[in-house]
Amino acid sequence: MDKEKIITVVIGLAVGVTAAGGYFLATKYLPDLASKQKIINVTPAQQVLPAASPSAALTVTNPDDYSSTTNDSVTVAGQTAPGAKVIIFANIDDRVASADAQGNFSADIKLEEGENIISVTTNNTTVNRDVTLEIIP
Amino acid sequence: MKKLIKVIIFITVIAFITRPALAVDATPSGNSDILDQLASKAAQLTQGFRRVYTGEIKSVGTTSYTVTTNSGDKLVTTNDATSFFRYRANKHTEINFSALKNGDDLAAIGTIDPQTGEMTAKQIIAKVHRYNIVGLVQSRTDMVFTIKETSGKISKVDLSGLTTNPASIKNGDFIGVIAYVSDPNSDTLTSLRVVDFTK
Repeated sequence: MDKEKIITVVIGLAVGVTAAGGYFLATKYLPDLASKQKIINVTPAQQVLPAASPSAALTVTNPDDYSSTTNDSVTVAGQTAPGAKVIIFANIDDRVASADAQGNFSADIKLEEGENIISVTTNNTTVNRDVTLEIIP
Repeated sequence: MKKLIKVIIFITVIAFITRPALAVDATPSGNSDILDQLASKAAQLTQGFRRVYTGEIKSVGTTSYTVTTNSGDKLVTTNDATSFFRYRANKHTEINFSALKNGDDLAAIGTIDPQTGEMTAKQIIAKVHRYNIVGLVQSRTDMVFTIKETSGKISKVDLSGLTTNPASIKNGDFIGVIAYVSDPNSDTLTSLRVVDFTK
């Protein structure tokens, strides 16, 4: 085999493998990069915007409204302004929690049997959650 | 030179044809992502689904109640597997279907038909509905306090029945009250519990 053919085959293989490999790697990793970039764009906005958005002044993420449980306590959690005092008031228990630097707060509240209404109050806003403690005979 | 270009094109085409073999391990990952997304969506739907109806009994059927809830009238059906309780004075007692009448407050726990909104109850708990009132004391007359809630609503609550002495509560205090309707003809609620958060 002459030298020209060997060089041609080697160059052809290198170009083909590079192109195919590049295509494979791009399709595999580019969506991940795009999703990571999306998170990076969203996170600072979520940290900055709550004060500007009235609906974001107090959010209760747990428990769900009109939910039931068999545990005699429930963790009340949510987000509000960083450092804000949060009053959590229910049928037989109450807590005053402080939101952390990210605005997250959390506290365990005791429940009585049957319907419990949990009021979460901060910054002149109250959000209620209705939780029913199932009776275990 | 022409021969060189032909060979390069040929090898490039061969390399692209064999690429799916390299990418074969990406397929299960893709399926796994879709399955994860479906599982997550299903979990969200399950969590978001109401499993409790609370409200006042509007009418009683043979084996069902029509309950007036915050989201309208709902049919709650019962069967042999349904348990009934009444909660009063910090304890529960077992009751039966016929013990509940029009006007009683209840909480029904069960599964809800997403098409009709009808619930098949697993447990029914009869209990006088409590109201949470959180706000500023505007005024007081004897033991009846007028409270402005954070929503702007004004509520009157009689605190005379409490074991704790409300004498130290004054105008401007931020308080929380658990109360119930003892007289349907009165606009004053009766308090079960009060907490002064100003202290």
